[in-house]
Amino acid sequence: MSAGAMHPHALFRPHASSASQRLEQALRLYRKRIGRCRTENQRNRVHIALENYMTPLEVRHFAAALATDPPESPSRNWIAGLNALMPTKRVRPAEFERRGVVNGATLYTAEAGSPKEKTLVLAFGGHFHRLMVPTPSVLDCLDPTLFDVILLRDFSRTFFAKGIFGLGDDFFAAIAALRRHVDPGSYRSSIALGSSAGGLPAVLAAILLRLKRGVSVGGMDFPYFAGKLDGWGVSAQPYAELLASRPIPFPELLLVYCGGHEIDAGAAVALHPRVPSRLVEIRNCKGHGVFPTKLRQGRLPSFLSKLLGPQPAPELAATISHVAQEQLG
Amino acid sequence: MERAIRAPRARDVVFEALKTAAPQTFDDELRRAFLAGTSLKLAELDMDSLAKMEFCIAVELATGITLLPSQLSELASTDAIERRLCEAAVSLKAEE
Repeated sequence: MSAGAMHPHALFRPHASSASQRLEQALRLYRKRIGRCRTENQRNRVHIALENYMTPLEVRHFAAALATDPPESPSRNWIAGLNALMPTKRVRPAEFERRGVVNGATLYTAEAGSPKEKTLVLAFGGHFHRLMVPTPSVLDCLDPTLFDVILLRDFSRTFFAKGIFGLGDDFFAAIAALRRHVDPGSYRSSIALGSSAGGLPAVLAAILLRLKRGVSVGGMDFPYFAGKLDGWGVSAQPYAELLASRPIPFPELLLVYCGGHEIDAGAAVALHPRVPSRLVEIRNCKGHGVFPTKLRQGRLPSFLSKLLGPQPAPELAATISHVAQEQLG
Repeated sequence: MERAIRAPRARDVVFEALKTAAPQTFDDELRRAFLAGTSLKLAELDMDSLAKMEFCIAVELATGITLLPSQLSELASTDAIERRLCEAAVSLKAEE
């Protein structure tokens, strides 16, 4: 299945000089690559990888170009489906562009605004290297003049315990190296956001980097994390010490979970007393996927705005107890 | 060219593919049950469309046999998938 075995950085490497040239080059390379695929699974592999890396601008460009393909074209159907998952489809004066920091970290930024005006989002992807929905669906919700996003990918699938490819061989080394690429302190605000397997690493990174906020969405509790680390031959001790530390300033930590998902609810409720944090239960949600649920409901933009806004929305600020639970619409 | 695949190997392939595609629901308890010979219903693994794609990709990478996401609901269980993989390998061997 070599046709699908490619790294999206190769497809999107910016050799071309202008944005329009880069878009055309990416499209040409996509067509070449997909033309080599012989099975649906090979095409799916390429498409999944692209969904993890593309920007909203690229989605729009591909959608316009592939719309002239025959109606039965897998490429046309794929991009139409992806385009339908763009929550706002807003064309902005400044658009996110992708800059590969290293293989395991991708910066999405725009040639507009300065760090002093922006919030830096360190996004810790889950098992499938994204925030549970296609990356452009998340970026489409964010104003590029107000946000820079660094998406971190856990290719070793060890909850980032074996580091980030290209940055360091363990979590602590990778986060330290990341600081050499980007200074969270230069931004107006910095937030770590992680989903699923990236949830607890986002909380830990927020403490380690003393960020303004750390958000775990559908993340795990610490004993499960520590048990898995033990199985991989990684000591959980430094992570336990980090979680127990109380540096000043200490980030505002939000533990977000689907109320109807027993495992995630149990994990969030169990993690809550281990670290100063706020529990946020999402109602009308039964599965593990908070972001996919919000995307389906058409509420992903407002939900992200509440998670990443300058001040947490009142419903997020409320500490949720078993007695009085807030509903996050 | 699809590779010859026997039942024990088909089980290994399905095990590894489930680890990749359903890391949360294919938990330690289900893994132990599967390794002990239990057939799992795919419905209980709660795989979304992305997970089904990843499962089929993993199977194809390991065996060369194309199993499509749309076929999984019809197959419904891990035993049925293993049988399908063995049959595909046998029929291809006969064609050679």
